[in-house]
Amino acid sequence: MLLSAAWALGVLALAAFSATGWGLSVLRFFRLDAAPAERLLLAHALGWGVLTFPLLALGLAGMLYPAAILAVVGVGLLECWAARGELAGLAGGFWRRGHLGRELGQSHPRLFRTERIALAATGLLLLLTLPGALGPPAETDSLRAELAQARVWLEQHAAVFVPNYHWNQPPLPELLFVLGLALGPDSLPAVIHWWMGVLSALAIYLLGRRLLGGRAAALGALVYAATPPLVYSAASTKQELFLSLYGWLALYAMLAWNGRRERGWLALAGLFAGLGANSKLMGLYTYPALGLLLLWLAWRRAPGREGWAGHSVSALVFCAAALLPVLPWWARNFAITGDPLWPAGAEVFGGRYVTPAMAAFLAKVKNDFGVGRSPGAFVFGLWHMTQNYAVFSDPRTPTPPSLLLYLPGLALGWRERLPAERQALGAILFFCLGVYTFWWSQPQVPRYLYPLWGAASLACGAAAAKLLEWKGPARIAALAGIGFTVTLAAGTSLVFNRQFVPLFLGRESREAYLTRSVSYYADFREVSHLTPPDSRILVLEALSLYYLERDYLMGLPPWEGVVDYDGLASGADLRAALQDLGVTHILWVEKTGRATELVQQMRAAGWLQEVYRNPAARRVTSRTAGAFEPSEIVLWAVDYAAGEAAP
Amino acid sequence: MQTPQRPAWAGWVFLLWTAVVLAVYAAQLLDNAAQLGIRPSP
Repeated sequence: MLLSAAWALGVLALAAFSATGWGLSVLRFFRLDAAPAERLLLAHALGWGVLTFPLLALGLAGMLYPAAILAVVGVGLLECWAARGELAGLAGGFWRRGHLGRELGQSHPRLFRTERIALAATGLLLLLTLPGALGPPAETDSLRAELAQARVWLEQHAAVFVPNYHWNQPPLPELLFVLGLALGPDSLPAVIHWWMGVLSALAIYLLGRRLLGGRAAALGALVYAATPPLVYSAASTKQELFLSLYGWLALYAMLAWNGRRERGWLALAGLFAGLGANSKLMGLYTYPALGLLLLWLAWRRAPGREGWAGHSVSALVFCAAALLPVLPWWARNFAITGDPLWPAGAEVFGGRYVTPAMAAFLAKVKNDFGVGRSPGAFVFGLWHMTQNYAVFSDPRTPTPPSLLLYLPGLALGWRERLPAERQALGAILFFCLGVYTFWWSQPQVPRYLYPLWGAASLACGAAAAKLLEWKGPARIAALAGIGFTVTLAAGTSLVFNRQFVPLFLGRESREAYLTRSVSYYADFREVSHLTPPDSRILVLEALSLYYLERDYLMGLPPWEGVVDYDGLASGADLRAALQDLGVTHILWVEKTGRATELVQQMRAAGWLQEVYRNPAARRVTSRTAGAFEPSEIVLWAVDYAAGEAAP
Repeated sequence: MQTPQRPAWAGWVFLLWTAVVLAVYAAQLLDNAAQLGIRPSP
């Protein structure tokens, strides 16, 4: 395990240098007046996104081989090496304080003590989340969605379209996970996602201190790191931490455009927003929020300076840059399915591979979470989301109370702030309100708010920093709030990550850990042994697909667009449909519904031969607690040679 | 440096707000933990 961890971190470092190389080479096209730390961070974050476009090209061309992926990383490393002089200069300026900072440091040492403590706590919280990322992949969503898809893309050397509800998300994280699986141990994809969390915190601090001062920015980074959802996200191959990074960078670039009047910043804002939308569909919430912010900032500028023509050019630059990153993927989806956002756009575009069951699920899922869409629920949304978090997603992932605590606290000492600070905070709140409004109209899952999480954390940091300057009750309240949220996140992290300790100490093998932590892991191993290598299995389950070592089709309604079970009249129709799909086996897990009825009809007709059965398979409900419920799992071989008599 | 004018009640209001938010939150946290019987990972 320790070797595997070292391998993952080593490849992460190489990929990070490569990303910086790619980012620097693109950033040169922008004429930006940026400080060294700013430029280095922007280049690095941009580079991770840029890196995925050659990978996407390889995927679409069917050339997604490890050697080709290595070549893409190698090009970035060469660019990094060629720019080593520039890089050394940028790195030298990374932690250097400005002149003003040094003066303040001498006159107000306490300000810097708070800053250092907050940064140290942020680093510690992020490190506490690392064991989960370095452990073997075991998170439920990752194993059925991102990681399973990345494995199929890598094995088929192409970004193939499979009509699986979970498998057609925007491709930026997915392509980096493919890179991870190709060049490192299978923990590397999660480590890359963890790194996006580290980068988000770093970006909140390094860029936030230019807007609101070091103390506010360091506390902002701490607020960001002290969230239970981050503990789980950082240990998995999800997309949320990409959203927080690119959402915050897009807003920052727009604020920089407002302050420095260079259109390059606006193009960069658009690109970052586009990279966010290329990470998860929820990244699209930033488009209208930033568009409205652009209008607001343009309207507030001195009249007559740019005129309507100038504003129109600005808007065009932003829109073009925001669309550029998402167009290749949307075009690919449109060509295959007729829906650029498949399956999310089914209501608008229709599109192929959407079964009636999937369409019904898509319509329902929008209202599955939250407390409704009344005006009152909108106004008190943050209260509900914090104080009744179980109805917004899952009782196991608390929404942290930091936003609810500190955003109202911004009102205290508002008039004491410099005009530039007030303007930056106003823009941040405007952006957050915009993202929140669009989130409100969609599935109300708190982690889908991650596009605004970086900016909102910085605003919380600014509020906390101001409150700490007050004497008496406000200061006590600020300290209590910080203490509570940090304790909550650290506690969540410790409870969750202790399951990996025996692995890293060598007291438990990887196989033993996976057997107890991953649903059906042992059964999937058995299925792989019992079936010929050229088998194709229809899996009537969506769990743990990553660990199935055979070619398979996920056939569990409503998440698949392969078989319309409700449209089939009998088991004979299902058999004919499966024959067309080249299916040799059916892996069935205790479920009811039309699919099970049809399978039972096939069985009654003698068309299914039992290969494997486990009446007490392990369906894991909590890997932290080692909790599971027994579940039946059966593998049948489909007999196409048997008679056609219908049951 | 000029000392800013800060109304004394504002600090108390924020302390009260913090106490209410954290008390309600802690009650919910304990309630959810009790119902789950554990604090598992998703």
